[in-house]
This record gives sequence, structure tokens and C-alpha cells, in this order.
Amino acid sequence: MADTFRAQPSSVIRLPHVDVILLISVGLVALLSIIYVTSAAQNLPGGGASYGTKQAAYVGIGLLIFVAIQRVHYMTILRFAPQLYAGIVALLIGVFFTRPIKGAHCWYDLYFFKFEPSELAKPVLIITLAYYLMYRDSYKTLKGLIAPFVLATIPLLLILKQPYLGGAMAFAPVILVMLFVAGAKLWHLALTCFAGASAFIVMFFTTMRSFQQDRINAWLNPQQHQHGAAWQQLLSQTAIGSGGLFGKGLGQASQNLPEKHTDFIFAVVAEEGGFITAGLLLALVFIAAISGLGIAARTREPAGRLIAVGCVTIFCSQVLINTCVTMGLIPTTGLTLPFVSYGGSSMIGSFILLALLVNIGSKREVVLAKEDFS
Amino acid sequence: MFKSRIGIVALILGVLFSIAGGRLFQLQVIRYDKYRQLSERDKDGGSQKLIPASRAAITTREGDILGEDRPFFDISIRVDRLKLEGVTLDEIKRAREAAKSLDERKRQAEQFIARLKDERFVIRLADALKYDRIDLAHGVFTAMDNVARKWASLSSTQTIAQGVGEDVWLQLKATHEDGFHNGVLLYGRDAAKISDLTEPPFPGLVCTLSTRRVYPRGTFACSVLGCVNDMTEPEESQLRQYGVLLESFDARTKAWTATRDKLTSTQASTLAELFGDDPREIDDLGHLYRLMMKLRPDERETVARMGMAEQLKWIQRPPRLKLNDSEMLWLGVGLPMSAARNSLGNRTIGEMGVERFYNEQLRGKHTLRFSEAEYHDFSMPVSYQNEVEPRSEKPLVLTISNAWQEAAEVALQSQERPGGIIVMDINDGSVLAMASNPVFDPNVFTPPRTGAKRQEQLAVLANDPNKPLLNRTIDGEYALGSIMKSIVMAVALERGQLTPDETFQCPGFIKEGGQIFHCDGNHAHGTVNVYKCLRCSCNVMSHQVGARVGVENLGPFAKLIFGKKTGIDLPFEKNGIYPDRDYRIKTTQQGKSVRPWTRGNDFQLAIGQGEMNSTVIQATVLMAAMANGGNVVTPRIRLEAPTNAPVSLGLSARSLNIVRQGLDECVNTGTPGERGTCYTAFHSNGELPVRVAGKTSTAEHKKGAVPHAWFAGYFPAENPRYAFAVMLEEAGHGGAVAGPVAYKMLREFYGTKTSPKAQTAVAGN
Ligand SMILES: [Zn+2]
Repeated sequence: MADTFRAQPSSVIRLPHVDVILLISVGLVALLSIIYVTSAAQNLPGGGASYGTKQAAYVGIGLLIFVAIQRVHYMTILRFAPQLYAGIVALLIGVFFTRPIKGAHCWYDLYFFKFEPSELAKPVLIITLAYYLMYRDSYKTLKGLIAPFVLATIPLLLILKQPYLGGAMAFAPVILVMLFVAGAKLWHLALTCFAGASAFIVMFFTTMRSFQQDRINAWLNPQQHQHGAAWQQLLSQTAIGSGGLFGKGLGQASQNLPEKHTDFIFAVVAEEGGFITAGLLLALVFIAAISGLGIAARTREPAGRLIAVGCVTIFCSQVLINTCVTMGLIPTTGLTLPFVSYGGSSMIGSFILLALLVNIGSKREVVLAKEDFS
Repeated sequence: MFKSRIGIVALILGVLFSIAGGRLFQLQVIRYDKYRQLSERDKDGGSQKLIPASRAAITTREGDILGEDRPFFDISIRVDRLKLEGVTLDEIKRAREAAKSLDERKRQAEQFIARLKDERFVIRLADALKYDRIDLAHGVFTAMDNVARKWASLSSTQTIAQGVGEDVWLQLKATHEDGFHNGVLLYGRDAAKISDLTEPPFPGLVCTLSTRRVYPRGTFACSVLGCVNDMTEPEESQLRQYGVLLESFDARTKAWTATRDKLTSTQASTLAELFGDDPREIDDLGHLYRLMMKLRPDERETVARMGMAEQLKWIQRPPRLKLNDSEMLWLGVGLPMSAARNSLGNRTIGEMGVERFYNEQLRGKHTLRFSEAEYHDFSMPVSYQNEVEPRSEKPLVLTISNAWQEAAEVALQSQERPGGIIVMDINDGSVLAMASNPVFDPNVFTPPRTGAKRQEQLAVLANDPNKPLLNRTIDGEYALGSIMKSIVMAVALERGQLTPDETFQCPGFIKEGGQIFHCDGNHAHGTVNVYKCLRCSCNVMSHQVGARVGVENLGPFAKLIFGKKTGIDLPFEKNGIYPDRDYRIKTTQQGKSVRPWTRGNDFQLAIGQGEMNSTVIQATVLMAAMANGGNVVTPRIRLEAPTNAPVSLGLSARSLNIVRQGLDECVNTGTPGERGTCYTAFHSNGELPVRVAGKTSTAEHKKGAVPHAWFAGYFPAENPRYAFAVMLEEAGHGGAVAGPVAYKMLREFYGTKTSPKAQTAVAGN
């Protein structure tokens, strides 16, 4: 496969084609992030500035990784898809053998940094699916759907088991969308959708039950406080609503919202920056998503377009789930807002996705695929 | 087809983003007013409110109140409504930013307080509240400073004066009736109302009803009651972190680390299986508690065998304070990031005595309430809306009896030396009187411990060389002296190493190992048997009997009482010392050889001296055991506390009867030359209507120091019901000093034969 693009070196366009609109909109989002993380963390130990600085550092690291990924052709990365996939599954299994943090097996504690393998799982899963789907037609039969479905489900179940409901929930649409744009039959997808939903419901309730058990003898452990999450959502809804059109101004957010610099950062943006800022944030994300889809549409190479679509979908599903949680439209799942929430894993994971997308957009040389999949 | 499918994806995204945007618009633009109001109210704690509950009362067994919460008023301000002429918030903010060191900040604070003291607002308010001006200025400054450092918001109400009496408040309210609505409520909070006044009298003032601990009888039973205080900052942060406040958290964390590091890898892996977590990686005491709570009884046994018996004991006692669900939600306990600066309105916590031991039972359980109307249309499952009323517990009834406690205190305070008295029921262990001298007034400790006068009172108590805060009955360890003879004789008789007929010759001293041991004052007792030995406290005979028995053979009996806590339901009880081999090994430094035990040491132990140490409650329990047929009872101070089954010393009635005969003679034999050591104390004034038996003790504890004076016994001698012990630090002869105190106490209670007191409510009846 690697030989496919070496076949026509003469058609390579050396000037990198970078999607400026995409970069500008994501850049603005990251800027908003640094500003509002600083504000949201002002009363945390260490002070807002330290959180802001760290967040800026994470953006910096993200940029470095971004640049590094641009130097490699995405097809080179694609060649290692099986190894990457095996690696990430190993990491996701390995995390169960570490000490749980806050009762969950989500992190590798690297002392200076809490590494979340599920963040890395996102790009790897997208690459794996693309690798599997790019020159196959089998997904057009129901039987052929089983393989990609199983490929995606193994890491997903592992993430769900951590338990990290949000991560698994955000990824589910990616499989569907990637299969959809690859050309799978609609009714097949509907069937898969149904199967996935049922599996999810079963998983959800088994996980829930173990939380309940925990509560019985855990007078010391109110983490799973049944009403804490709902109450948190009420607070965040109130915070957003009270921001109004123009917001209360930086640093003026109400003090009582937990996790406001991480999962609930959108509430802070909306309360302090008002509808104009929060709306702008949503608009920027949407613009970025559309330009991402534009990259997919312009790319002729089949794996590339699939990866591009996957990256856009995971990005959007995270943003939509997170903002809808803070606005009280869906129950709390525990999911960060990409490029905005405080935290290294989330920021770096987001930059990896962006880097893949831009990488694909800048390499337009290979036109070996048929105009269309059909 | 690919492009068209991408188009569809874009379309779907467009729809989803429109929904999100629409929701945002709905929240922020359409419903803005509603949420703004809610947000404002949240700031004042309006829509979520902690309804405080007061601390339960403490009563004697007759139901007389010893401690209770009484209403007081706290005066608070909202900094945004505060109108001052000179000092401004900005100024404080700027100064805070400019300050480079803590000292500089302190200096600034003093300057601000000095300026605030002369503010018209402060002068007039201090006058109206009859409050110290500097204290009030201090309160106002702290409130403003809290806002400056963002510990509080502008609109939060912050207390500046605590514990204002109801009369003062009513007068203030009457003078400024216009400024209020809803009676006692929130003066100056309703901006529309106060703007009607040309000059609002005290803008920004808020008054809230609070409660304060009051001990109406002052020093009465103070060492039993103890006192309350506000939680310290580390305690509060522990509470915020775990939802519970564990007893001696730091010490236990240290102890746990030591135990953990000693575990072998096999032990650790066994424990890891039981716990589900590797014990060598548990740093967090709260986590350890949680894991241990989950263990089944048989698993607990396994854990205890791994050398973690001590840790298991920790979880037997309930924590000092355990938050309920409402309180946890209010404080944000367990939520990953509790940025909320909510505080428990009442931070009172028991610091000493029953207030500490029974803190969790006594404290009022707060309730969180949401205003339903404002949240019900959110369709969120908030189920705290209609929770039960805040709960104050039933009064805590003590075993302390009014009349006995009074008698004990009068007797004890009739002389100058520090000391302690206990009167206890010999069968159920209920303590009828527990007094320690000197006394303190627990009201002094009740928060707020602010203000110059209060500080002075506290300093006096803290610096008193006689340590009035020490409960000498359980918290002080003293050489027991001759009282020990009673158990030594009983054990010797029981073991057949002594018969009632056997006699010893006492020339007043005995030599052993190059040392000379004396009877009191080198007095030669002549021919001595067990009765005379107890009656006249002959050391020479006791030494020899003690040496026959030996420290290790006495141990199985004596260690049921000595060298361990009696288990009374009061904090800070001491163990005392029983100096057997185990004890010596435990106290020997690693690598050094254990001190050898000599016959001379047996001599000393037999008369309760040398290393042996006892608490007053242990002496009482010993006497109770002598009187009740050899059962060691667990003393208790709460009437409803469960009675533990007594542990038998395994002494026969025959041996005990012989010892009791001796103890009776000690008080009641007056034949010249054969007179008991406590005869004079009980028979030279008025005769008591009750016959007392007991043993005096003059316990030397330090070369050259005056000995501790003891008298412990029981009454009525014929049919014993109560045991008692009197101990006076460095007061002299037991018979001459402690005996009369016991006599005085009994006379206070019973009167004399010629003029008996009618005791209507004799405890235990
Ligand atoms: Zn003698």
C-alpha cells in the first residue's frame, strides 16, 4: 500500500496547503481557553495564574506535537495502524492494573502528568478504522460490518469499564459517521445503531449498579453522591443563564460551581463572557468543523478522507455533549471540552486530532482512488 | 456519493449546533432575568439554605440542666451595603496587594482597625450593642478583608459581632423599627425599604438568631462536661475533605505509616486481598477507614493478627463528627472540586469531656433546604426539597447525681490541694460524682473566644500552674500507695500463700538488697496479721507477702484494672502503669536489655510504689471489685451507655471477705494502739449514718516531695453499693488529709446520725 503514493512523484505539490480558517478558529478557541481557565481557577489553591500558565504550556506542547506530526506523511502513520491499535489496547488494559484515582482506572500517574490513554485512543481508533475501511467494500454487507464494529468496540468497552462513560459516549457516533461516509448501507447502520444502543444500555446499568453498591458501606465516600451531579448541573445552568447577553465580566462568575475549570468550563465562559462569547465559541467550533469536512471533501485519497471525517466527528461530538451537559440538556457524563477545558491530556489529545486533519489537508498529491467510493 | 454523504454530515452538525446555540440563547437571553435572580439569591444562600439545629442539652440523672444552647444574636454585615466615611474596600485591597510580608499585613490590619474604631458606624453600633469597640472594628475589618482576598463575596453576610443578648437586640430593634421587616430579620437587606429613610441607621446590618453553649451552673461538674470550641482550620478542612472528623487524625496517620512500613510482603499481599487495595500504598487515613469498615468480622480477625489490632480499634469508636447528606452537599464534600465557600453556620465542636466524647450525639444535625418554587420547573431530580426539620438530639443524660456531685465538690474544694474524687455504683459502674480540683468555668471556653476580657480569662486558665483543665480523676497518673495492699492480700489469700491466721513481726523496717524499707514513720507494728496489716497499713508485712506472690503472679489479677484504660466514656483517659515484664520490655529501648526485676521491686509494688502508677478511676474500680465480689466494672458517665459485662477477678468470697474485714477495721476500729488509719477522720466529728470501709494511702512519688494522700473505699460497709476514691496531690497523710475529705463528702450527703439529711433522690434508687 505504501507504494501507491510513491507511484506518481511528479504530481506532488510541494507547497503545503494549510487550511487557514480552521487554524484561526481553533487558535481563537485555545486563546479563549487560557483566558477563562485563568479566571475559573482563581480561587483554587495556587491561583488562577498558575492554572492559566500551565494551560498555555499545554497549548505549547500541543503545538509542538502538531508541528511534529506535520513533518510525517499521514500515510506513514497509517502504515503503523495495526501496531498503534495493539499498543492502545494494551495501554487501556494496563490502566486497570494501576492504582485507581478517584475510584476510576482512567489515568497513568506519571508523577508530573496524569496520562489518560483514552485521549490517545481517539486518534488511534480513527486511524485503525480508516486503515480497515480504505480499500474494502465488505462494509456494504451486514456481515462485513462486524469486523470494524468489533475493532471499535474492544477499546470502547475498555473505556466504558474504567469507568469513563463520557469518553465512550463521545466515540460511538464516530464509528457510525465513518461507516456512513464510507458508504455503508443506511439500514445496516440503523441496525448497528440499535445493537450498539442496547449494548450501551446494558453496560450503563451494570456500571451503575456497582456505584450503588459502593455507596452502601461508604460513609466516607460521598463521591457518587446521587444528587451532586444534578445539583452541579442546576448550578451550571443558573450560572450560564445569569451571564446574559454580555456576561458578568472576567473573574465575576459565581463561586459555587464544582469542576468549573475542567468539565464545566463552558459555564464559566457563558457566565463571564455572556451569550456573545459563548455563542462565538460555538460558532468557531462549527466553522472549524465545516472546514474540517471541507478537507475531507477535497481529499481524494480514501483513508485520508475517512480520518478527516473521524476527527471532525469526535471533536464535534465532544463539544456538543459537553455543552449540552452544562446547559442541562443531557445528564452529566464527565467529558472535557476539547481545546478549552483545563488539562494536559485533553489539550494534547485535541491537538493530535487537529494535526491529523491539517496533515491530510496539506497533502493533496495522491489521487489514486476512484472519484467516489461507490 | 462520498461528497453527498459528507454534505449530510455537515447538515446534521448544523442542526445539532443550532440546537446547542438555541439552548444557549434560551438560557442567556430569554430566561436571563430568572437566572439572574436565582444567581443573586444563590449568593445570599437564598435558594439553598442550611437550616441549623442546636446542640442537645446535657443533664444530670435527675434531669437538671448542666449545659444547653441558648439563643443569642449574631450581627452581620453585607460589605456592599456598608457605608463608612474613611476606610474603603479599595484601600484594603490595595494595601493587601502592596504588603510584602505577613508582619506588614499584621501592621496594616492594626492600622485599619485603629481607624475603623473611630468610624461613626462602629462607634454608634458598639454603643447600641454594648459591644467592645475594638472587637467590633476587628470584626468589620475581617469582613472587608475577606472580600478583599475573595474569601467572601461583596453580598455575602459576614458576622462582625457574636453573642449579643436578646435584650440588647430588642432595644436596638425598637429604636430602629422602620429598618426591619419580618421581625428579627435581615436588617438593611431590603434596599427599597431602607432607601425610604433619610439616613439608614446602620446600613448593611444583618441580624441572625444563633445559639450559644451555656453552662448555667458554672464550674459545677466542669471536668465531666468539658467544653466546646469552634472547629480549627485543619479540622474543618479535614471535614470538607472526608465528611468526617476523625479522632487524633495526625497521630493516627503517623501510627499507620509506621505499621504499614513494618508489614512483610506476605502479610501485605494477604491484606491486599482482603482490602482490595495494597496496604503499602495507602497513605490516606480516610481511605484506610473506608476499607476497614467493609471487612466482615472474620476478616477483621485476620487483619488484627497482622498487627493491625490498633487500627481496627480506631473504627470501633464513631468519628468525632460525621456530616449528614445535607451537610455534605452544602459543603461540597466529595465533589471533585469544591470551590464553594459555604460554611456550616454552627462550627461548634466538643473539645473536652462529654462534650467531646459524645459530640456526634450532641450536635444538631443541619438540614439543607432548596426553595422548591424556583427549581421545580427544571425537571431535575432534586429530592432534598422537603426534607425533615433539622434535628436536635434528645438531651444527653449523665449518670452524675446532683446531690453526690455537690457533696463531692464541696468536700474537695474545702481544702487547698489539687485533687479528685469519684463516687461510683459498684454494680453497674455508673459514676455519681466526678470532681477535680481546681475547677474552671466552661462558659469561658464557649465561642466566640474573642474580646480582650475573654482572652484574659483564657490566659489565666492556661497559665495556672495547678492546671485546672486537667481532669485529675482520669487524666492524671499517680503513685497508688497502700491501696494496692488490698489486692495484694486478696491474691495472696486466694493463691494460698497467706492465711488469715499467719502472723508477721514488724519492727518498723525491713532490709532487702542493701536497702531499708520502713513502715510509716518507722513505727513498729509488732505482731501483724492480714487484718491488722490492712487496718494499720503495715508495710513490712505487705512487702513480704508481695514478694511471695511476685509481680508476674499478681499480674493476671492486677492487670485487669491497672496499666489499662477502664473504658469510661470520657476522652483522654490515661492507662497508668503496671510494671510487669511486658511493660518493661515495651519501654526498654531497642537493643538494650530489659531491666531486671528484683525482690526489692516486689516490695515496692506490694505497697503501690516504684514504677506502679494509677488513676483515681482505677482505684475506684479496684474498691468496687473488692466490694462487689471481685467484678471489674466498666465505669460510665452516660446513663444510656451500654453496660459492659463485668470481668471477674476470679477471687473467692472467702478471700474477699477477709480483705473487706480489714478495710472495715481501717475505718471503724478505734481501740487505742490498734486504731485504723482512717478511724479518726470518721469518728472524731459527728458519726455518719452509714458505715464506711476503705484503705488509706500515703503515696511517696518523688524524693523530698510531700506524698499524695489517698483514701479509697466503699459504703455501706455491711451491704456495699458505692465505691469511691479521693486523691489529693502532695497533700500529706492519707488518713489525715484524704480521709477527712471523704468524710466531709459523705456528711454533706447523708448528714450525721444526730442530724441526718433527708436525701429524696438518692442516686440509683
Ligand atoms: Zn509495720
